[in-house]
Amino acid sequence: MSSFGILIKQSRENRGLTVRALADAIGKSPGYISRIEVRGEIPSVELVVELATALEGDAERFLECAKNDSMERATNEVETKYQDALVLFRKGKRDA
Amino acid sequence: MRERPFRLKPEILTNGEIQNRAERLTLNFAEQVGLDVARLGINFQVVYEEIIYPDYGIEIQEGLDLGFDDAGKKIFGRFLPVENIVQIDRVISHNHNHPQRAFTYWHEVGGHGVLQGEWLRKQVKLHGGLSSIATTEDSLSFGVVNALERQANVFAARAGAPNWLLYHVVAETMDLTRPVRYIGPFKYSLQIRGRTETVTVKSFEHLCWIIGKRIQFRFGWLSAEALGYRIAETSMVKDFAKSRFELHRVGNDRRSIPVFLSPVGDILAGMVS
Repeated sequence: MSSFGILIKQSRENRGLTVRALADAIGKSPGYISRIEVRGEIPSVELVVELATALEGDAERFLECAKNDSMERATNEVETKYQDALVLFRKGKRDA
Repeated sequence: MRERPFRLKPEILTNGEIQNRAERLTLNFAEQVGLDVARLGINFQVVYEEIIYPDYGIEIQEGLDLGFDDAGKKIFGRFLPVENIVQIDRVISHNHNHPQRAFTYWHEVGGHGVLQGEWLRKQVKLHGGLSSIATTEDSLSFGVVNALERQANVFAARAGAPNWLLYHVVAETMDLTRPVRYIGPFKYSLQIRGRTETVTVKSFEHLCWIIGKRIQFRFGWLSAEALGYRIAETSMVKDFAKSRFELHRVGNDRRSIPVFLSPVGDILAGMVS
């Protein structure tokens, strides 16, 4: 679970809201909230603000958390690609 | 007097009740997304996101190494009733081509979590003892003796391939206007998505498996074995080979004569080689 997903879940539970109630509040399907909380999906900036409003939370904190998750994901992706490229380069050098 | 150790028992439910609950779960999903969309196909992931997580709050932890049970069998999944968490071993979660992947998720989350979760929590509250239910490959077979596992399998089979979708998909895929008739181990000409395919069929179960294999993609790649089992349960494929050799009494004569129930045309069609 991503930090943003955890933040949404905790805020929702603290407010005593169900997944369905939160989904209704922001006009999305319950599946969308599930994907944020469980699959770590990061919504658009506008939706992050809407979520913060619905959960009566600090929008800046929500945005910061979403940004950190996005950064972490991007860093991991670049690192994985770099490692894959390195393996290919070394293999090519060995073969040559 | 020595106290007997407490053994957790499942709620007493008939197969019909379990199947109804599974069917209802998927119908809720169909209502949520619309029947036209749901009829395109069903898979665990979307039902989990749209219905199971919002309504039952079951969390899934994937990519873990759950190790082996006391008998040395690999643990595929585990349900923790008090925490309402399902854990899936990386053998299943990280291998999208694992034949038992979809069924394991339905078994753990649907069977143990949705069907038995509430009951198990109550039982643990009353008697204590149980911390988790572990599932190995053996638990996923339909011949399993353990009642908790058997119930979870019945639920998983029905939720993974509910009747309302299975009948529609089989009829659509096979261009059916009447049930497929199995009349013995021959070569069969099957109409599959408008094309004629000639297949060698070894048994009734094999015919169901062949059909299951061709509709897997509409059921989130549920295994052909599980789909074959479900197809065999329906009346879409009929085993006439079995009934051909059923013995019938005629009048007062106690001698028995075999009666061929399949029309001659079917037998000839089945013998096309």
